Amino acid sequence: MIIAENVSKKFMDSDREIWPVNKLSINVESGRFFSIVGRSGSGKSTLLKILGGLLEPTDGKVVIDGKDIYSLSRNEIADYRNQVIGFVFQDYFLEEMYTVYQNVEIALMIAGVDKKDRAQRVEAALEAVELGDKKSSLVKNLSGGEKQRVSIARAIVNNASIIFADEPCGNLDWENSQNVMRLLRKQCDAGKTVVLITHSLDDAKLTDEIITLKDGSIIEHEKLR
Amino acid sequence: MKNSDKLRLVFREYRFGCLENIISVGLQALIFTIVILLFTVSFELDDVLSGYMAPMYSHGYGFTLFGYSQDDIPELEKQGFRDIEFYENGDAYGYRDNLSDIWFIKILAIMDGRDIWNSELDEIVNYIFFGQITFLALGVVMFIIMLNNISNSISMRLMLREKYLRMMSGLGCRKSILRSIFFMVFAFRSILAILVAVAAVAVCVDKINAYLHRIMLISLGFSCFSPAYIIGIGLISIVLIFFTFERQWRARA
Ligand SMILES: Nc1ncnc2c1ncn2[C@@H]1O[C@H](COP(=O)(O)OP(=O)(O)OP(=O)(O)O)[C@@H](O)[C@H]1O
Ligand SMILES: [Mg+2]
Repeated sequence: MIIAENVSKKFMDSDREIWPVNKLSINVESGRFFSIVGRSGSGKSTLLKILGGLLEPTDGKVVIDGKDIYSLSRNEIADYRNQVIGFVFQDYFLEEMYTVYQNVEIALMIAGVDKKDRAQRVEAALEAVELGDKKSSLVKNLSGGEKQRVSIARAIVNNASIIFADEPCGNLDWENSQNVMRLLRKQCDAGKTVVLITHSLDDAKLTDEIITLKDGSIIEHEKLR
Repeated sequence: MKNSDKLRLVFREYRFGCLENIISVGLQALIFTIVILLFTVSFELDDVLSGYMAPMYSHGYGFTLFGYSQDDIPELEKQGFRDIEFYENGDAYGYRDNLSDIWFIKILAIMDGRDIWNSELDEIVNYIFFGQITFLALGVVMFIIMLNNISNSISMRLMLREKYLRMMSGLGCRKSILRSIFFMVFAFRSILAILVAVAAVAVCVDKINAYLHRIMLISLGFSCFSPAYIIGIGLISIVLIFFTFERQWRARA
């Protein structure tokens, strides 16, 4: 369960204040598939980073499974991101010169998992995203859809209980998008919480709850399932 | 993160900017070589010159010692003087076998209101003094140029790897671990450069020694070219590189 209470974020743009997220409260129930929609600049990415421990809010707090994450030390937040949270971004955030295997493995290295235990877990994660046969390919030689699946594999390899995906289908064609949506749904069915940012209403309709943002506030929260 | 994994990531970093790595190591090795040679020449100049003039001073180098008394004989002997004789007017005369550290000894004497003097040798002592100072200063200047070069190379590399650094942070890698990985990336390059430079200097010293031996039948002791000296230069360099790295690392954040 992720609880955001009255979170706000202020940025300074030259000498003008911007509040991309403004006194926003939300309960993200465990094991459900959420989508966040809204116009460009409505604060979706900023909110996702705040919920995921990547960006400290100016005001308010974020409580995940009973823990106020921004009251933790910087190292504790980092460990928390590594063990509890998986991120998937529009531009993949992969190391292009590493192989598929190495890109997924790195999340386990950070977690301090022994080398001999890593192989099996990386392979299982790659199987789950249907990339078992590409593990020795360099990421720079993959297609966009394949890269996005590598980043999903990396997000799940540590057994994260929450997956945040910021427009994972933004650079993909229809077929690859469907694939990514199917894989995210599979994660949700396996008991994980998934929070997805999307510009596509069709994709949003595949999720359980749709949250609509405008000017940093929630203007609609629709439960589909 | 396990230490073996940190090392694994350090060595993976060398895959990026291969040419830049080679140029950086080469350039650092070249400048290190020049710096060590300049320091070596600076330290050894007194011995080279006294070795060169030794045939003309087969009895040793005589100096008039002003302002000393009989009580100072042990101190003077420690400084390398022998056959010290005192005259009625209080002045003394003593010999030394070489001119090692002669201006240092002279400065110590002058600071105590005394003097060590030889009309014939005074000019040579001055040459040694300015020669050593000049070579030392050149060495320091080259060293600063090299640090500046390393600093630029660190800043460029951190910029090149900005996206990777953000990715690692996003995946929950602690900042301190990332910092130690990148410090090792730069430190290993410099250590390799120092090793290459030490080998190059060893070859140069060998060649210089052979040459000097042929033309004036002396060979340099190169006492400073010892393991302790090399480890010292290495440690000082790594510490300075650490501070350079820290500055760039903070500038980035
Ligand atoms: N680091 C920053 N500094 C200053 N302003 C920022 C910063 N990050 C975001 N903003 C501003 O905050 C507002 C919201 O940005 P955000 O990225 O959250 O929007 P978004 O809803 O994700 O948009 P998009 O759909 O285009 O990705 C924008 O006006 C943006 O310019
Ligand atoms: Mg966005």
